[in-house]
Amino acid sequence: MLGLSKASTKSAGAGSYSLEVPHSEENLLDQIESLYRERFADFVAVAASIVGERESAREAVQDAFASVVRSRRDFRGDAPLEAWTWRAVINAARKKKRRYFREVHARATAPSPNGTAPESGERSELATLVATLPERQRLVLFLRYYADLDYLRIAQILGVRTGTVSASLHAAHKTLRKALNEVVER
Amino acid sequence: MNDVQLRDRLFKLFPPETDADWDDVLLRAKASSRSFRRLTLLVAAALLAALAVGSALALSGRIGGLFHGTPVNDLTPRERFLLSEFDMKGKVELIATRNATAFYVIRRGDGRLCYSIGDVRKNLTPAQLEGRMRFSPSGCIDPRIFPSKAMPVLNFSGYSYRPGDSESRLVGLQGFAADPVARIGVIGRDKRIVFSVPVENNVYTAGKKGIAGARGIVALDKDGTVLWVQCTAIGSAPAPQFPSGGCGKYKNSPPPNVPPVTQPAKPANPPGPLVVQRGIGDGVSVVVRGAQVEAHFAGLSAEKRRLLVFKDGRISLGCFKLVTVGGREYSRAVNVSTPFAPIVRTGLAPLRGSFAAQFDGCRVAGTYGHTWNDAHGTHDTVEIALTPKGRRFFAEQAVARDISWLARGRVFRDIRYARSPLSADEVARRLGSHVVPLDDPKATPPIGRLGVWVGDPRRIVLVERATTGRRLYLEIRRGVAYRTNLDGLA
Repeated sequence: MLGLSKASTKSAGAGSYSLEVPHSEENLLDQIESLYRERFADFVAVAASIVGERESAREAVQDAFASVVRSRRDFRGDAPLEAWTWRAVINAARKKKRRYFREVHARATAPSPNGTAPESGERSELATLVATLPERQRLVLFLRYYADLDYLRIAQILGVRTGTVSASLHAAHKTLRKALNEVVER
Repeated sequence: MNDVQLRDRLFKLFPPETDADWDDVLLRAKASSRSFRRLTLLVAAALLAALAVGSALALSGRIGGLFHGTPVNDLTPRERFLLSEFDMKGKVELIATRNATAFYVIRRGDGRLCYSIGDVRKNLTPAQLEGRMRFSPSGCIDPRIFPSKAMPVLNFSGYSYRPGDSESRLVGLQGFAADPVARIGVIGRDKRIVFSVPVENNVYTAGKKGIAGARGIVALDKDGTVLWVQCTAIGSAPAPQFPSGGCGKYKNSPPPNVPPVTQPAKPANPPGPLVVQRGIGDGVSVVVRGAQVEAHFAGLSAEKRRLLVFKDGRISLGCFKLVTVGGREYSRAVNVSTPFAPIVRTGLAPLRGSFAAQFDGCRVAGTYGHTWNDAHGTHDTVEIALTPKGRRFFAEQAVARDISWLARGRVFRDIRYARSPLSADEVARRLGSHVVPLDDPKATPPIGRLGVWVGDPRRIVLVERATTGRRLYLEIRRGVAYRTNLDGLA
């Protein structure tokens, strides 16, 4: 019987899934749906960190999962389903970002991650800071602190080494900490 | 700014989305034309607009404050073992504390959240820290159900009724609540709110207060508007003392309507070859085939047989596995109560998951009681070791019970709580020849004897060596268990 199970690797993070072979298409669809329902908020937040706009991020997640459902026959099971899905979401968000910037040619200020008018105070400072981080740092930051994934899983998703994940996270953390402390002290 | 603060700020900055739409995903997967995608986009936008003008609770599908607290990194091996046993293994975070009560969320690996309420751990001895579970009432729930508009409160309070009471009482009013809930009110016997507690940091508690005649609870927002009602005075009451007849104007809120997540059924037996084990002990032989146990009692002595069927003719037959968590060994066991017969065949069905050979041992117990140093000893009536580990466990468990039963026994009470400590010689004299006085707290008595050392300040050390060579001890200071290595054994 096919089932959702915790990843067999020791370092698998919360909400990690692996497949017990053999798996049928129907069961795979169930697992994709479970993943979607349980981690929807995380997917949207991470996508928003790329797109910089909430509505487009939601669209990217919907498109990504539609794509995953369509191409589930291609899933070989040699990597966790969750990592495969995360990659689809990130790719869809990147695509959406390109389209978004084509449509919105000129933007005077940095994109607000909430898709709302810029706010005053520390919150808007944080939004701007996050938006101006390099994309990899932003992604690692969200995958780690928002989606609560561990370094190994983030490395699988981004196709980098765990050392790179650690370095990116450290850099992002340092930038934010420094800037936010300055904001508070102002 | 630490990791937790950063995470909380990110959650504030990016409030979690709640409007997952799987049907939309399936539609997009089927449709390939751009026009169709635009149409679904419009539908999604309309839905979003409807949600935007909905109640504030529409945002409560997932609330950062409820899901993130301070990570708890000092779980004891015993707590980790028990969480695993109750299917609550995950990341534990402390959400809030109220006086002596702590509120926890446990993030399971499968994404489900468990909530638990326990005591704030302070002023505990090392033995208490190791032996006490910090989690008391606990439960896991689908995050789509709580917190949600349909269920903004996860209530952990209960009703108590003692014979002689004229009506039941609501006790231990405590639980978790979503952001919009500002107070939790209690509906009294006159169907009005008679008591309320504030919700702070998504938790509430009324301590040990009991409310007689309570009929249910309501969740109120900051303006006093009723958001949700849980009326327990409906249907037939289990006893006349429990309320019935509804809660007046406070109508029970409908249950959450969430489609069930398809959970693949687990196989009755785990995959892999069927493991067969055979063992014999105390005149009883067992054959274990996977999760099936067959016990033959032909060789059982008349004395042990009398003990086993002493009360109601039923025996408790079970097998166990030893698991190591955090360097400590604990036994996972399933015991089945069944009528005694010359040959007993039964399946070992745990509450969850599967439980099958290979085991480290099996045992049969009756329903007779024990007192320290009685004629029945500290072993189970029938012990059948199936592995060397199992044999070692039985030997050490018997010794651990000897120490533990003495420490808890009536015969030891005066010694344990004596204002002026007795000498070790006097303690040994009172307890009989099984106990020998020790000159040093680190000394060990001969195998088969229980050593006692007494010193200031009101310090008692009970020591015994098992036949395996392991030294087991319990140190008591001022009547309280201070340090021990009996955890997992007794």
